[in-house]
Amino acid sequence: MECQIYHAVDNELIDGCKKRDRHAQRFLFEHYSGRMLALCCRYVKDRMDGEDVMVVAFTKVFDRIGQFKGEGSFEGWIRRIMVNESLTYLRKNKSMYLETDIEAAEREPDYDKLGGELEAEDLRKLIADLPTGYRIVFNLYAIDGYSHQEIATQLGVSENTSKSQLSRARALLQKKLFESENGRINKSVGRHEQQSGQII
Amino acid sequence: MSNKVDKLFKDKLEGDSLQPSAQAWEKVEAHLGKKNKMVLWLRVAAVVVLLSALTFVALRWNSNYEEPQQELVKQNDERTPKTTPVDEPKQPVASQKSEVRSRESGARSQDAGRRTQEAKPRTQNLEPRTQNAEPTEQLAVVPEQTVVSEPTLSTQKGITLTYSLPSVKKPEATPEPVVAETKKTGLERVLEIAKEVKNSDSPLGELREAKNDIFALDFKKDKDKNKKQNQGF
Repeated sequence: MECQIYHAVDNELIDGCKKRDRHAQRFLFEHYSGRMLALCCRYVKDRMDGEDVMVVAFTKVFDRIGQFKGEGSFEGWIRRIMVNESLTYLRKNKSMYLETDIEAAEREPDYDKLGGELEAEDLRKLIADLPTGYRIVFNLYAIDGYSHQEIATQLGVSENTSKSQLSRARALLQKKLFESENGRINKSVGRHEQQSGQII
Repeated sequence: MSNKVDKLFKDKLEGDSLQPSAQAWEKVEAHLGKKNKMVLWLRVAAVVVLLSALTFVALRWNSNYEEPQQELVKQNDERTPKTTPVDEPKQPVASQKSEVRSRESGARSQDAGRRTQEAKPRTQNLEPRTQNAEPTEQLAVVPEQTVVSEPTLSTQKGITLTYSLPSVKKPEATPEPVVAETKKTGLERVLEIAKEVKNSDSPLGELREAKNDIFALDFKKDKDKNKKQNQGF
């Protein structure tokens, strides 16, 4: 039900934006800008840069809105434009890949517990700390739902590269999660066990 | 195991939102304004270009219709009193032949050889009478008139006194496919005449050059050929 209402609102908005109605454009911007800024900032570490990327991406959304044929969700369409713009920015400004080898964590952290304890803010920081290449692939695959094939096409790499980047990103995140979990335990219980995330 | 990492991050971050700064929309709007203005200016520019192109074409058409007719009148005025009394008695055969030639425009290419042969004796006949200047002047005028568009054809034919005039002009009037063939024969003829002029007297050099220049305007492609052949001669 809620979904349908949203859909109706979207359609009206889209029609308005196709006619270049400034109010409709503003409303659409207000509606999506928060989530889109969060998305851009997952790729582009710096908040201000992320906002610039979002601004450019929104102008593209308004320019190309005539090309949206109503296939798939409108938000998905906008998200793709945001992702593409973020990747363009990263391609222009930074080397995409770092060759650091990441060690996998030996023990798994308790994800359910972590999910309760960690806020989105903390996770965002963890992602932001990833090397650029890992961050891109992890964002694309785990959060924005791209397939390895799509990632390979987008980044101009092989699917295997995409897969290995993803698994390394996961390992790194896992390790950090474990550390943060341990950190909490250590704080409360004391240093009863040395950090045992061993290196393979 | 890895999917759990993915899930944790996806659940927490997919719907996450950050408050953009107050200037964000203004920036977007500025971009949109620019784009709109750009589109507006592009349209204005397109209209201006279109209008100027149309006026240009219109002016060209007008001048094409007016200029040649004025020229013609002048030329006719000059020539008719001077040349007709002198030439007509002398060259009844030539004028007749030119008429005949104009009729058989299709078969002209075959006649080209014969005609060029005819051209020589005629001018030779003229030389002793010291009328050299007059015919060659007319010859030099010929290519100029070929630049002129069709309407001139008919009026020219009516008072044709020159031998080469109809045959040089005809190829212009004939439809495209024939032109390629007939133009060459016309060219050959003109070349012959040019050769004569070249061989006959030096003061005509200027006229010859002028003729070549005008000729080059009309047959750009053949220009190079002309040069080569001229050098060959």
